[in-house]
Amino acid sequence: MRQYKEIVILLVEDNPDDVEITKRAFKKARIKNRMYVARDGQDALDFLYRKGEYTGESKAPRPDLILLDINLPRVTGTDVLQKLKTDPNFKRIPVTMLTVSNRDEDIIRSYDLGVNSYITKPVAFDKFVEAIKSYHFYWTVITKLPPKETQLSL
Amino acid sequence: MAAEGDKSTFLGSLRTKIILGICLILVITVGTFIYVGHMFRARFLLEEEEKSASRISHAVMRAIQYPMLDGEMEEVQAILQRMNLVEDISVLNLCDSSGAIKYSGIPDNIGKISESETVKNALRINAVVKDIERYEGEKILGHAMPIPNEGACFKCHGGEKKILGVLLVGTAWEPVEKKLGTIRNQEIFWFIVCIVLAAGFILILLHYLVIIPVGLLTRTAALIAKKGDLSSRVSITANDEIGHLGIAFNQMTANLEKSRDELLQARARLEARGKELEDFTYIVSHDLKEPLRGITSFSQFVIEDYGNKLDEEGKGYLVSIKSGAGRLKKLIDDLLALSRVTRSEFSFQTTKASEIIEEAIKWVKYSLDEKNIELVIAQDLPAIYCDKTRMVGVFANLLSNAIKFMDKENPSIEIGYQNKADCHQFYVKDNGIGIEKQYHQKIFEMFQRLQKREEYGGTGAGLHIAQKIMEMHHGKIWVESELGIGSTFYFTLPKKKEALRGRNETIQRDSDIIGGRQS
Repeated sequence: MRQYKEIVILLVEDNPDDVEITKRAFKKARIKNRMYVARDGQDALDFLYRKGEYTGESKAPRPDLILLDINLPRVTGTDVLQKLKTDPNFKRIPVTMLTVSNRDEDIIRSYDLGVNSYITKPVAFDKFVEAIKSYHFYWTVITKLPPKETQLSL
Repeated sequence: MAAEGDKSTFLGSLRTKIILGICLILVITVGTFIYVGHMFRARFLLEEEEKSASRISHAVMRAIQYPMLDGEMEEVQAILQRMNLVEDISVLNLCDSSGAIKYSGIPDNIGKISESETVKNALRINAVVKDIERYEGEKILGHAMPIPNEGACFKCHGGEKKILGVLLVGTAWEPVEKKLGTIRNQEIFWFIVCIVLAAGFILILLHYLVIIPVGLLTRTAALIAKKGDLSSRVSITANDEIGHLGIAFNQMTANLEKSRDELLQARARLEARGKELEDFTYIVSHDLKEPLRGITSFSQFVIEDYGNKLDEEGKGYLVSIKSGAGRLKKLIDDLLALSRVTRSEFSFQTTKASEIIEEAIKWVKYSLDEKNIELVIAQDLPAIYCDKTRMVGVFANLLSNAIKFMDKENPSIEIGYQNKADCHQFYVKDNGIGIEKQYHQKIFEMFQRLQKREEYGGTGAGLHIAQKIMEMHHGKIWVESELGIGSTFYFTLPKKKEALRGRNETIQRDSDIIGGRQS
């Protein structure tokens, strides 16, 4: 199997079970990754802006990809999305909604706010692994992303 | 008055009708009075004239009596000539029994035969005759008095009892007629003046007491009728019938407004309740999925990580957990599908039924072929006004049920059509296992299954969803079936589009509200 470089992923998910399932899916898909987990929207923003417990780059590196749940306590997923996509420093990081909701309203609102893709979590684990594989392959192999330097200089 | 100057023509307006009616009544009554008055006056004047003529006759008779007796006939003629000079006396003739004029106020007439009908009649019936007649071109009131042969006359005329002659006194009638005419003309003049004044007065009364308030009522009623503005009221303060009508009108409007508001509130509450319920179904089904995902995933993790540490029984339990979770997921998916049917927008369009059926068959093609089922589809299918995707769903569901519950050697399914007066009626008929009559209603309820799960799969949501879809189309769905023989599912679609158009708007509006809601 071809070796891909390690990617940094920020997973914003409040349900520890779901965190566990997602981590296991990445493992099963054999994706080399460093996964950081934020437990709600506020936690995610603190991580990205390196506030509170996340001071310093070592504690909170800039993620390559963000996986965002919608139904989150305190600050919701769509609020986080809105904040990221209006901030010049973060708007180029691919954000993917990872949620159980397949409501048209949620999907439309997310794309209106500039989400890069929207995945509904399959209930069956094997299907979820397939989805994660495709996700990783798409964003790290197929897609050409803007260079990091440019992002930082802005 | 621009008040009621709408489309009501001049002749059609209430005011004109009332004025014309009153004028007609006035003309008839006052006209009758004037006519009767005129007749009485004419008769009175006639009687006066007759009395006057009678007096003149007696005066003449007395005046000529003695000259006559004395045989002074020139004196008689002179008296008549003198009397004739009296104003109003036009004719003064003394005729003999043959009607020849012997003596006259106008000497030229002596010797002529009298033309007067009055004279002739008086001679004939031997009595005083009074009548209006034409005499030598002049209208006169003739008074002819016969002169009997009396004792004093026997000297000259003999003792025979006979009429000696007739005295005709004619008074001019034309001045009387003229007088009558003048009075009549004056009366007519005042009569017209009175009618005009009365009509004007009535018109003004009518305008302020009836026309203006009625116009106000009409405008307000029209406002309510056209714009449904039930908040408008009329301000009529008069304490009469119209005023009472205005008060009653206001009360009626107020009551209507109250009832409408209550209805609107009740409807809003119901809609909110319905929406709440739909949202509840939707949210609950979503929230159920999350823990379900945990159950499925973690039971798999246990099998993967600890599978070799478990005995067969333990593994079996885990498999049961997984399959239970799988079934739960299907139920939740059906719940979601159901809420989707009512929540999301309907798009109605006219589509050929044959296209819809073709589309539906694609869904079940595989199982049709697998079970080797003969499918008969009716010809000459109409175009129907419906939500195409959902109607495909209804057909596909009925077909898949027919296929699923098929137990015969020669399986056959028929899709038929019956053109009813006010609706299109379709049916899907099979010769499958059939349904007992007691379940014919129950099968349309959510999650109702009649068969064992092991034998026939599915959750029992399909028919309920089909029923919901038909409800949204203002149609009906029902089954006719006999156990062991087969089932026929009928459903109808109204032919009138209007009902569905209205429904469509409501659905769109509702979905706008849902769309605007934040989760």
